[in-house]
Amino acid sequence: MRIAMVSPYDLSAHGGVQGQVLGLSAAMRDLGHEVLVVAPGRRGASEDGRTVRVGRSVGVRANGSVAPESISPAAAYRAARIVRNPDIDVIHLHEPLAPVINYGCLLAARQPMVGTFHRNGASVLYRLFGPLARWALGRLAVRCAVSESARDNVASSLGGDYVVLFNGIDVDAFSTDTPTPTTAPTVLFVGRHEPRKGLAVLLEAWESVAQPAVLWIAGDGPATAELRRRYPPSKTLQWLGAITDEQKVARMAGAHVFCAPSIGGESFGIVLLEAMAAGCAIVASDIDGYRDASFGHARLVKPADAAALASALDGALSDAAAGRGLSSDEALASARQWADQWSMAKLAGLYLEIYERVLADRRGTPAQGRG
Amino acid sequence: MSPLSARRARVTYLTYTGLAAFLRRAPEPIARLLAGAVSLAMMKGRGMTVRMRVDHLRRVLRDGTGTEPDPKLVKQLTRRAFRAYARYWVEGARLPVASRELVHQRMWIESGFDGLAKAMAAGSGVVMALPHVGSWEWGGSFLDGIGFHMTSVAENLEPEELSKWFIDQRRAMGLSVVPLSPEASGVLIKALHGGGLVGLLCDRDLVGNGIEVEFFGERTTFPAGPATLALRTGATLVTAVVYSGPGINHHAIVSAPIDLARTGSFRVDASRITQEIARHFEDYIRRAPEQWHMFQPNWPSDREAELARRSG
Repeated sequence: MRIAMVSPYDLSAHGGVQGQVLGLSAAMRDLGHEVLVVAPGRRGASEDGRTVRVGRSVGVRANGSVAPESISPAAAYRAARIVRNPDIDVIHLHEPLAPVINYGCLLAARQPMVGTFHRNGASVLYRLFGPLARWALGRLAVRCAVSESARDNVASSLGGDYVVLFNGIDVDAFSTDTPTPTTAPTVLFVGRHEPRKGLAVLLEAWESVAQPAVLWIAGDGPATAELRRRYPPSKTLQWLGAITDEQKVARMAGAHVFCAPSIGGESFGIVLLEAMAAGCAIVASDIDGYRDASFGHARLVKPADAAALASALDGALSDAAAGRGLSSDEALASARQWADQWSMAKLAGLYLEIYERVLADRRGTPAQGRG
Repeated sequence: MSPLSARRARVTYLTYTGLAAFLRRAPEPIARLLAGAVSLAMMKGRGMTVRMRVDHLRRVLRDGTGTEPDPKLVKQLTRRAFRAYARYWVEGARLPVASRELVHQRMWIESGFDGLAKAMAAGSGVVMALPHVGSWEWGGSFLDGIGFHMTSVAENLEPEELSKWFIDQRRAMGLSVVPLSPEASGVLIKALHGGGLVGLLCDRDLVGNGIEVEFFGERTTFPAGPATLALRTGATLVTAVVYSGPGINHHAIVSAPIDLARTGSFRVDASRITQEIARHFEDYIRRAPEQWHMFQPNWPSDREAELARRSG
């Protein structure tokens, strides 16, 4: 099958959606399909011809973060011309309502389109452009959402039906031979330093954790300076700053417990699955967005409750020291297997099934093995 | 049967079969939309159902942490509970016509499969105790596909033709269902003696004459069937759960065999075994309380609260 995979966000900027687009494309190629990735960025095709960039992106502020989108109509036009190529069987739009190259595809495409909604948290855009957005939704043969909360978000503003799938993870990338060494039971936090991510709650909880342990704080953000001042680096509290993907894997492999104290606004706990794949026991806040990913393989605590978090960390750390509970070999292995169920390969299989069905519907023949 | 109740029975039958026929033939998204609408109507329309569902969710969440759950989480999970129930119906309607490959492809056994295969190979039969979580039919259909045919029991529905229709549906999924009757246990015992697999849903005691267990912090009753059958026939007893997810896939857990050693009277042993089943179910339900299809009063305190509400 020939698939055009469209990302509204610049691939050279790191981000969740871009990661999914690239991972999914690679997994589909491994399964023997041709995938052309269309995205913003400096114009031109990649050497292997697998990626086409249709024009520079700019930072667009939306929902408290900055999205590297293209806003040029010319880029939308170029994207539309590319996907109209009759050699392409199916077009897959990610975040279909994000400007602007997706709009070109929605307007011009002749082939069936599948759309995947990633975003979580109410979007002003959806409400402002309601009728237009609904028209765009109607152009999609199948609408997917990466999680129940991503589905809730788009469905509550626009309605419609969605196939809830998931975010895939590159399981193999999270096993490493070179974990970052550590001498004490170690807790790892990875994420942006903003209120939503709950780092302040974790730091407050850390003060009352009784177990001897080290806390690694990776990432940065608007709250870094303030939090660092209140909780200065020490032997048991290490501020790592922004880290690369390789460093993240090494830290996850080295740490014993991974802590995700987000207060809300997470659509999917992909980072929990990554940490499971790397062999961490998980302590996470009990929010809707984390429930699917944790599924009994994590210690869940009430969000924004420092005392509850501290006692959960104490429990997790003493389990880690003794190799019992969620830190027993058996539990860690079963969490790793669980993470494997969310692999890019599995996700690619589900999307290919959807493409087949869409194509069969278009041809008017019944698809095999419909569920 | 009076003419009026005969007509009502006919309407019930036609509603179920008509809906199922539609759910089966409509494209998947439309089927889901319809089921979603029905579940929403259930949620808006039937006060007690929603109240009960929320109470059960709260009870399970509280039991996991010991503190009152976050109201926001309860709200989100309530919505998901009704969607999970809608999904159960859509899948149930489509399972009779789903291909073997599809059933197989969308199923993963997280743990316990080797133990189950070993117990089946031993030839003395297996009793599988199941909760109303996710989609047990999907699991049963999957097991049939790999040669472990499941026999089950269903409560009798009014009208009778509806019961018969449900049984036919299950047969098309690869499940044998025996209607609940005095003869049913004979059929099950025969199946077990033949080395077969018997699946029993036993997280709600419809008749109310079951065995008392401690379940999510309060005593209630569980059907005695699984413990009694296993003790009588010497079959292996396991518990299992089939969850929905990740995404449109399913995954299952099968427990290790429950210890059936005789230590006291039949009653005492059956009670100990049934309590063990309840413990397993607590673990299963805690992992996905929104997938527990429980919409009716299930503990004495639920029933008392309902009575008090009605009279107050």
